[in-house]
Amino acid sequence: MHSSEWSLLFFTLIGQFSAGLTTALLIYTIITPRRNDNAQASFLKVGLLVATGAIGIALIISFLHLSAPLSSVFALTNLKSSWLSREILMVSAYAASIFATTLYWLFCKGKRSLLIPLLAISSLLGLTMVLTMAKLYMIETIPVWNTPGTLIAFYVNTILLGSSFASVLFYNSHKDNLDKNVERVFVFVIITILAVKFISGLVGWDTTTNENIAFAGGMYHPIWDALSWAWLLGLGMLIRRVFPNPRDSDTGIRFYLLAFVFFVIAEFAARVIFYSSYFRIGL
Amino acid sequence: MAKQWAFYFDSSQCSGCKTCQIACKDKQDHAVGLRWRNVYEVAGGHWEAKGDSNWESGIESYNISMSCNHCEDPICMKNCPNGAIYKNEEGIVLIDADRCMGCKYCQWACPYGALHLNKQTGKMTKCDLCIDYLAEGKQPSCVAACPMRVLKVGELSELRSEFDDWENIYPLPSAHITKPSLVIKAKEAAKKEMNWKIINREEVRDA
Amino acid sequence: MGKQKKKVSKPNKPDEVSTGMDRRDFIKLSILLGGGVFLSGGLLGCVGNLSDGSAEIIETKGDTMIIRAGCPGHNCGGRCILKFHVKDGTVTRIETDDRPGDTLEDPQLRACIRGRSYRRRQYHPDRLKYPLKRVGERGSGEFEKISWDEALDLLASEIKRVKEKYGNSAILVPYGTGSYNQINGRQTAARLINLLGGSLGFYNSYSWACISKATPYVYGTSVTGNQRQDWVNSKFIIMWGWNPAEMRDGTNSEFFIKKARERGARVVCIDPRMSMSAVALADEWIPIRPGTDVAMMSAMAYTIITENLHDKDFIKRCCVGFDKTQMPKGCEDEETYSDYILGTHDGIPKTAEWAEKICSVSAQTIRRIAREYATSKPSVLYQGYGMQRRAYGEQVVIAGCCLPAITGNVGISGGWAGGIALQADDGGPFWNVFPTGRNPVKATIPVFLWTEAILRGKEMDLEDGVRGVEKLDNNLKLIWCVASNILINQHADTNRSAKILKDESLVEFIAVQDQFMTPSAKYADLVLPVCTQMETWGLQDGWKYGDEVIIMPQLAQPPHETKSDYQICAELAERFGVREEFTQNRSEREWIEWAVERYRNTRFPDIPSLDKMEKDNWGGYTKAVDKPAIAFREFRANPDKNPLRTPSGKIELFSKTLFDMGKPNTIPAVPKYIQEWESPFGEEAKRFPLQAVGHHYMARVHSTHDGVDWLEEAFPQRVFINPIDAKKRGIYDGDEILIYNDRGKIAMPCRITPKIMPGVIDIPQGAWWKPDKNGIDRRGNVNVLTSHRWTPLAYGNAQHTIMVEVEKI
Repeated sequence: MHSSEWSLLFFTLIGQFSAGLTTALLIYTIITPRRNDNAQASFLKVGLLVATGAIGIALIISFLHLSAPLSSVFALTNLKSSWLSREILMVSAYAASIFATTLYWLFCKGKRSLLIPLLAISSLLGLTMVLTMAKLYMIETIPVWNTPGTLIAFYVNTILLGSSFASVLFYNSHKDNLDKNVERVFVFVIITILAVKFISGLVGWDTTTNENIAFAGGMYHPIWDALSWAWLLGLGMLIRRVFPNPRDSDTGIRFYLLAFVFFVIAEFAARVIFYSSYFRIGL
Repeated sequence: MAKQWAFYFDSSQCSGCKTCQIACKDKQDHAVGLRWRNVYEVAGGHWEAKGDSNWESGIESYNISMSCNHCEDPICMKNCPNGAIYKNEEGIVLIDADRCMGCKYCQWACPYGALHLNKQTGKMTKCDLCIDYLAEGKQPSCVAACPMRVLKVGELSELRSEFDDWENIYPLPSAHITKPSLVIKAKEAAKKEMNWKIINREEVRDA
Repeated sequence: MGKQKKKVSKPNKPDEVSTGMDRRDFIKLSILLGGGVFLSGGLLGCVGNLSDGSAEIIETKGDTMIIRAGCPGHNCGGRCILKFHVKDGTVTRIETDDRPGDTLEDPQLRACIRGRSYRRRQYHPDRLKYPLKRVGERGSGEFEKISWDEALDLLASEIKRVKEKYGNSAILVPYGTGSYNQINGRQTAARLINLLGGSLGFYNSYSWACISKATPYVYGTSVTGNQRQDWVNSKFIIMWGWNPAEMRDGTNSEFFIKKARERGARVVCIDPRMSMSAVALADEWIPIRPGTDVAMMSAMAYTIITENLHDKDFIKRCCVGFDKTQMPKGCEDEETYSDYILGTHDGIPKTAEWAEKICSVSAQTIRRIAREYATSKPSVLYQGYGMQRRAYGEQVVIAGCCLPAITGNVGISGGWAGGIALQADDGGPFWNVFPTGRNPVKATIPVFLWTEAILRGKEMDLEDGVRGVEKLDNNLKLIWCVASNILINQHADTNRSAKILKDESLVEFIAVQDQFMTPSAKYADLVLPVCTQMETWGLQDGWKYGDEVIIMPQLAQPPHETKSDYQICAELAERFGVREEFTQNRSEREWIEWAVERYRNTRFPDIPSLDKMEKDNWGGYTKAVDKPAIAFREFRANPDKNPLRTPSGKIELFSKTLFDMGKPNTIPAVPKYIQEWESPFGEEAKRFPLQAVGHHYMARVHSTHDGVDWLEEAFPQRVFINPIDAKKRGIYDGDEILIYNDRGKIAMPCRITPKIMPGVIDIPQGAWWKPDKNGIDRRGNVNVLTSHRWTPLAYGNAQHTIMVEVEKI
């Protein structure tokens, strides 16, 4: 994998994570009855800050990939035919939106009439951003990327990391007053998206299973391959949480945190395999 | 005045000497690692043992000299986010360096390996068909250089009517993707299924 | 490697020497005095300014001058025209011959990558700048800078000392083909040393030892080649071990073969490698085991004779030795040519089945090719030089001459007599016209045996190829090596050569005059820096073939303290009081004018003056060939009236001269297959099962151009190995592997390619020797593996006869 592609790898991982987290925050806000306690407020505050911070870091990292970043001012001029141009537009729009949403929440002094609309717009922009990210890899001359598997992989990453992190935050801020229904929604979403990942793998649309991987000497592939199965460990963490050992004292946060860590490892490994599988037809 | 400039390349008599590659490098003053024109050595077939130590060759080989094919539907131009790539009125695909931010998306997309990063300037570059020479009525550098005289440039439709064209020569992709302005003559052997491979990869990889 | 100095065959007319000092002299003199006088516009810009009425029309493009001149060439088989863009005395771009026309009769002389990348050599940071004197051990490459005065004084005093202590025959100005451009090159040193009492002479060459020696035994001459434009008249062309597209055997040879194909000729390449020429030109590639070509040729003759496809009439009229009816007097009962082929004497008929086991070409193919060669009228069988640069290389030369003879392909348009094939009808290009004078020392040795002359010169006699005297009277004590990388690198058995040269009690003084610190220069006691061809005047004609004279005006000033070979010799001559004799009071440009006159008086009466050629700015003079000369045309028409210069006056398929040498096992009277002294069929193959060849790489001219970055990028130095041999040894593409035999070891990266036959590896020759601290060469100088053993008749280098083993590291 080319050295400059590492920055793209982190850009897409972190950017998608941000969009997923925003979406999770939106769903939470919709399904949770409004409360005036600190738990909700702090959950949303931390969530929004992390989502904004993540997209900010992602944006900075994306510039590292350019060899002439000053000319990036022209990057929005080929929306007509370039998915990359559209992606740059969506990243910028989403970043601005989530930034505005965060500012709003920080300074709204308890008023939250605009929260859901802002979150909804940000989430929509974020999910559209993920679409453009995936589409730009789906070029006719790179058959290994030109499959629905790319779209699925990107959305899986988005939802999985976003909801998983949200569940950590949620548990952490609500542990004194856990709303089981909300918790179940988080777990359900995570397990569903893992099922999508598993099924797409079976159907051959999982980008970790293609043969054209151009690792140096083939050495690292087995390692990355193994790591990309860490989602099973994360799943295990969740199941442990759902069927706890009665002798355990309350250790819920540990499971969600570990699950998140395993999901990050799995997604990171899968993304390394994705970029390393670059194979263009022709010369 | 040509409507679509195109290359004609006779792969059946190209020796792989790379004079075209070097002529271009000299004109452009390119450092080691940057080559607008590459020569790919392709071989296929296998050896058959006969008796104890005798061998019969089923090997075939040809070369492909390629820079940019100034496609009629350039995938690089479509995908460049900055609109830095454009086609002039004679069909030559050019890069406006001021607009290029070096994202290398064009390089990912082009199936002919035409785009390269110039490490000195940080911008993407590619064959410009010696547009300055064409304006003077001269041949492009590679064409004038070739000791086997296997390269020509001309108007695409005229080249197509004058010369054989075998678009499906390995490893070129199907011409429908980008519609390269290229007429390429292939050896008869190249038209067969022969487990072809590029065997000089280290010489053509981008640095 | 290169070729022997071409002898001038035409009678000399009195030299026309320019008199007086014109504007050119003025400039030359100024340059000799230090050259700092001129404006940055460079020499020619100033000449324009100083023009006295007959102004040159110098082509310009803005502030850049456009000058067409010859590619420095070195010993490339090409002689091409480059179009230089010169700005402020610096070459900024190099194009090639762009004369309109590019016809068969007068094609453009297009340069290859070696000429096109020349700026990277011209401005290479490693170019020698100053004279250097050795301070470390010989071979260590440790030198200190000294002044020119010190340097030339040292060289002069050493020459004097060795002359006085031992005699001139202890001095060697070795074979070197670094420049054939008159002003730069070994011929300048040869001229001077001949004025100083001479030096040990040598004959033959590294390129063509066997083929130049053996051809005249068949044909009585070396002029056996038609002009190349005649190839288009051929119906069938065998390129046997011949790769003109890569090494360039005369600019455009490969282009002429292409033209022949356009007119319907079928081309077959017989070669252990699918060379560049095979890829570009062959309708069929036949891989053959190296060193077994005579077996296939003999089997072809068997098919031709037994199937009655030979040209009986031609054989009867024009040949001797074919069968009992035409043997020379005194040899009536000896083995005739067809006796050998049919096996009537030795009991081994040279059938295709017999040959198949030896050369790996199937019997079916041998018969098919034999029939095609004999029945396509006319056919060309072109002998490349690789197969004669081997053990018993003389045999393949003679065999390759006999096949054209028995099929009647001699003396006709579209045919080819074979052998060294210097160009009909005047012998072709001269290469060097700069006069070296006569060598007062009568003793000569075969060029390849100079290391023997160091070790045991005083014991060398006629058996060792000594000619001119019965025995040498000296071991070599002083070597003045000019424009040559022969000492270490291009001579065989590098490790042995290094050991010999390192011993200061053997060769007491070594001076090397070159443009770079080559492996040979590293073994010098004194290194003198030479300027490049672009920094002096020059002139060249064709390489082996061709009908042109290409001029090389000076484009730039010699940088730092470099000088031309001629100028160095002139200044050295001064110290011996023979400067005037040496220079004839001619400037460098005046020598080139003198050279033009030589051509006017011999090959090209219509050649314009040097002034005019410069003014016209096309790079020189070419003569269109619309009626290609055919070698032996008159002989074939009337062999009695136009006899050959052989003892019988005819083509000698059986040579009584060879017979009389009395060495039937190594110098037979008819061409025979002789198993090489290192071969896959010998005992040595148990330890060293692979054959190695060292082909002439696109990236270099022998060892010139090694280190030029664009050329290394295009053609990196690799050992080429077949996937079957590689797989057996667990070797993958790009792996560093060890190649070795009893003479040395090389560790270098490999390239796996199916375009070489299994059992053979290839290490392109000319890469500069780079031994590590364990003595293992890391760059791939094939001569680490080659042997000093020489061929029996020509005393030639058998540098492609190598057996090795290969291992994964």
